[in-house]
Amino acid sequence: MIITINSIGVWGSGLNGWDATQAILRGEQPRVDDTRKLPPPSLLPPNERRRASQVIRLALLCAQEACQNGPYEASELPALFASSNGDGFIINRILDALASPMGAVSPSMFHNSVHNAPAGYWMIAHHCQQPAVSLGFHNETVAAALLKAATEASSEETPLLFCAYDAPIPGSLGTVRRTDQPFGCAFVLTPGAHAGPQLSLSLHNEVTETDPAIQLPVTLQDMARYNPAGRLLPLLHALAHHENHTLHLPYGQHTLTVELTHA
Amino acid sequence: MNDLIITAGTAVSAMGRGVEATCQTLQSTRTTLQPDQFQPNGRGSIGRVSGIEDHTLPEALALYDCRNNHLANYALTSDGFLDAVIEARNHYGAHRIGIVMGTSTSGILSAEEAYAARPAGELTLPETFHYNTTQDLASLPHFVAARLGLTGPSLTVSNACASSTRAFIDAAHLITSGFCDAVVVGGADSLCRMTLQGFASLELIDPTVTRPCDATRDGISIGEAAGFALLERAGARPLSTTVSGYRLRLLGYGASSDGHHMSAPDPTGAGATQAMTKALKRAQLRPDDIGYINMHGTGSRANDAMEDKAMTALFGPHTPCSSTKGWSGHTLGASGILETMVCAIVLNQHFLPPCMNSTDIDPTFHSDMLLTHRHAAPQIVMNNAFGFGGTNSSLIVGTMA
Repeated sequence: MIITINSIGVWGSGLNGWDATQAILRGEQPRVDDTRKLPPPSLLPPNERRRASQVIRLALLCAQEACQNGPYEASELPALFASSNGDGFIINRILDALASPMGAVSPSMFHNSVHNAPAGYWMIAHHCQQPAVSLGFHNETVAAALLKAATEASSEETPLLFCAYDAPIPGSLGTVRRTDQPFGCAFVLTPGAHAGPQLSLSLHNEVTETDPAIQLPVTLQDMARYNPAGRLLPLLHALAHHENHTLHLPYGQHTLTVELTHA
Repeated sequence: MNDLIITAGTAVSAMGRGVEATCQTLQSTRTTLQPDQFQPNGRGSIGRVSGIEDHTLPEALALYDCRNNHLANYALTSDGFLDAVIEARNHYGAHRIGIVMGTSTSGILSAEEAYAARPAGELTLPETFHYNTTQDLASLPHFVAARLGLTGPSLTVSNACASSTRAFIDAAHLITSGFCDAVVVGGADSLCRMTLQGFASLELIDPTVTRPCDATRDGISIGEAAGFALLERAGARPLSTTVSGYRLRLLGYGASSDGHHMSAPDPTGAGATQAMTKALKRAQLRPDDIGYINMHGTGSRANDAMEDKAMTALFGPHTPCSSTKGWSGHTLGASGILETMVCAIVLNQHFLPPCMNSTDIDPTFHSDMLLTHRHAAPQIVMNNAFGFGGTNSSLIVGTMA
């Protein structure tokens, strides 16, 4: 099954957009951890802008960049958002509140806690009525999401916004779930083979273990290994170098093989 | 659509374990919601599945031990569903059957308990807490895969209260694109303090008991449920004469977003109308072909008003509809699979269930909302689900004939 990448958005700690990230992937610049807060996406109405958490901002910045550089209006695109941890900051806050005698769950925190919160904010930002699905599948989230995006784009014969993102979980949950640095990546995808980078996806009924960080600059290696969305970094590395590349993503008892070619 | 059929199905909820018990409840006016004694100072009512605390998982799967997976296992072992999956597995091969699960909160109750068990001032969680196999979203499909011996592509859909409705669409994509021959689709959501207190903080919990579509309705009652269906192509293999639950056709699906607000539906119902319209279009059906609509019908002021507006715009005033959440409570991400099983019962048992607990339909509503049981034999019915984030999904299912 083949899909074409129309455009790319990337944000993360020390990764401010696809252009800057390409320079880092090519080894022209190091990635430097950046603890500054992400800005609220300007396209949100004031209430949502105020309520958008850091994780929501991360996802929306990626989606926004991909759509700005893509051939379609954001409001026309069905969307797929994928994250293993969801909004760990909020989940941890709620769990702390529930464990304290006087703790109360705040209403806006609760509605931001749903896994599809970034999808909801994105659709509000664009007054978009297209469908959106929000997925999670632990360390194999990217494999599940890429396969799902390709099957949806081809079954429904529609271009699609793909956005994978993950961020560390603070507090107690963070002690049992290691995630290195916020990272997110979005693609606008069109089904079939068209001009531009193409991904050919196939599923193999065997497990192929590969180190996702191999070939990556050293400042990106932990992100590729310990951020579930970071599993896309080897693909982005090849895209930044305009190279063909075959990615083997473990997916349960299968391997999802993603072959990148440029046409 | 590519002739997708549901060859086996089951569900557990406060209405009962399996389709027969659920059917008996739906034919009655029995109260199945109970006062919230799940948490200290609980208010309103809940739809609690009795016996879940005592239900045990197979020893080899002990790491998955949490309320959500107990509920899932309770459903998997109902209605002969395990045997139905084994038959399909023998035919297609374990690697050709995928798993698409819908859940909003997975096993988060385990994390709530682990946080409460921390020594004062410490971050460390008890060693008995296993994040990956309980709270993480992948816990449910991993558990189901292990329990059923399936190895096909799996994923979890977490679209709030539309999760397991939307899961049918994602399962259909995996089959129509050829990556799977069949998919176990469904989901589970179980009682936890996060959702009970979260909905309370939004003042969406009815202080007494939920009364969908009633003039005096005042919110939801939260319930828990798990359910599963085996989705595959019609005619792909010979089917045995023993049926797990009911067989039915998945005739159409539609999804949309409101793009309006995170926790309130678009009062115009535009997004909901679009999901229903897309489902009709995909099924190549007219509104008149739908014999019954199982509403999302949460009992909240805003949802039921919006849904009435959306249904009226599309169907006019004559399509019978009801919400069965007066029996089950709002089972959140599991409501889609549970209510698909309710639709299966309606299609095969020839009655339409009313809005349990409700006595006076909101006089501003125009749809044909049922207050009493009605004898009818619809061939095609619709099921709606809408969720936080403005996510909407509608399914159309029909009899096999």
